[in-house]
Amino acid sequence: MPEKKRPGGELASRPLHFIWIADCSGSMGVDGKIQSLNNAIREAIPEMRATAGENPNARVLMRAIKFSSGAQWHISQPTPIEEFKWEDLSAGGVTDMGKAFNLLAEQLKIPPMEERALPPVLVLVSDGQPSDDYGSGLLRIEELPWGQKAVRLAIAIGEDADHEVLEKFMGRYAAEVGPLQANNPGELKNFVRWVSTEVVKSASSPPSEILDEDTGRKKIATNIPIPLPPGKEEGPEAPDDVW
Amino acid sequence: MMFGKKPLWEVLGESVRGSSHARKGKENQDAIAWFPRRGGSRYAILSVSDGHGSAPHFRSDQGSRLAVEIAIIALKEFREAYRRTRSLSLIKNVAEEKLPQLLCRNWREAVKGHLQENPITDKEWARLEEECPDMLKTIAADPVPGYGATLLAVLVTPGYALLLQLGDGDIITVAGNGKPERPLSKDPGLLANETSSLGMPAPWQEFRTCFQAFHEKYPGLFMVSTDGYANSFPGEDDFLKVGHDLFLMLQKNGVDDIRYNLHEWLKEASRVGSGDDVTLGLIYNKDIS
Repeated sequence: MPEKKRPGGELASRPLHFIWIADCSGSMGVDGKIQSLNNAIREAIPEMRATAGENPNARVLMRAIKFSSGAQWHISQPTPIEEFKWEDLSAGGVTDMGKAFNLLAEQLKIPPMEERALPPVLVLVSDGQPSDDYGSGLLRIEELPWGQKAVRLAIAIGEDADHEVLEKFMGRYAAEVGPLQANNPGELKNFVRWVSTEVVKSASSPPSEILDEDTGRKKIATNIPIPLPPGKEEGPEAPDDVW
Repeated sequence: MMFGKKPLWEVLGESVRGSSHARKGKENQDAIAWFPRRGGSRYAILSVSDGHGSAPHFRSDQGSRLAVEIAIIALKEFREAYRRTRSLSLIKNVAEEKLPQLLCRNWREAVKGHLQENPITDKEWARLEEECPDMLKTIAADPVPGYGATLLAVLVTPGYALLLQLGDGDIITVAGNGKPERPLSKDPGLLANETSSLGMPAPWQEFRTCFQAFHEKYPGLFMVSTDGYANSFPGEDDFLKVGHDLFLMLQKNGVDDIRYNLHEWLKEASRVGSGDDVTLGLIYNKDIS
């Protein structure tokens, strides 16, 4: 019997949005932090492509927000990881994190987010304290279904990073992994690689999540199981903390 | 064509293992069952279920199989009990108030029976300990949620259609003019991979039901699928088009083309689309073909 044309419209794998939210305040220009971040993200892209290639049923789409005095999309288009090129960030200004959260919240609405997407991965990188009202921006994110479902992680660069704020951003993921503390370029590179590969792998094939089996009530959201982040290197060969 | 005369309903379906499950060496967690197995009938039943498949739901392939089996039995008995009842309102009320609880209770009993005959093996415990150690106590206290699955079922009779759904998945009706629609509203609380489950407490509260009384006009097609199918399309319109296209195929060429190609179509949907297990069942009005 001849093959018949398949019913329905075009088929497509499920989108997995990955968004960097990068602190570009003046302090990120000290001790080469911003350049270390640029290098780490750029170097992680080939591994991220390889990870994405292992799961053809998820389409990894990357973009980035930068914030300093104000916030804007650094790379605004959700770009397939196969085509993604990192453009260097530069540092200068204050830490308007709340404005970055507002930008992010706009993009987590349905639409433009697709209902059938995989839970997005949002990674905040910061070395300091917000200089604006970050709370209202964060609240907007948390009120959105995709804001609640997102895998929200944070990398703290150096000892001046505000862990309390980063934990608030991470929400329920804070209890699981906490902010990832990078005190030198090597640690930063390891964490960036980890979120770009291991976290993407977990988020691209999440198991079914069931309504709360203890209470029978709907959970606001549950965590995507993610592996443990890389630990701090110990011993005489370990790099010195510079930040 | 679809006016007055009571139609004959025929059912077909297919379930394929997801391409991502194949990569991980996981079994198909979906199940499908229907009545009558072959040929047309004045009434028909179709049921589809999606086992959750995550580590704590270690027997969800069995859970989905039991779910579709108990749904067929319960809906047959329901139809038999009310076949001479003239009041559609009464049938509707009983269906909406009693059937979800009955289905959940029967599933739980069936699971307990299966557990009694097939206690959790050492190999299964070892795997649970490795993959979800924090769940061991919970599972030991009540292993029934380990069979967790969704349930979708449709009963079509000469006078009415009854649609029931717990958890994710899709029931689509296609009218006699080929127009597809979604009679059950989507659950706004379910996003990404969230779902209700037969294994949760009081699952009947999460059932969505729809009762369609037929007034001379009969639908052309009922389409029931697990979420792996809709998730293989970029948007709602692309997915609803499946219903419309199948209706036209039935009208033009009858059922044989669909029967012959369905397995490959679903395989392709999983491979190019969601990667999930994909199951699709159809109850179609033989008068359209």
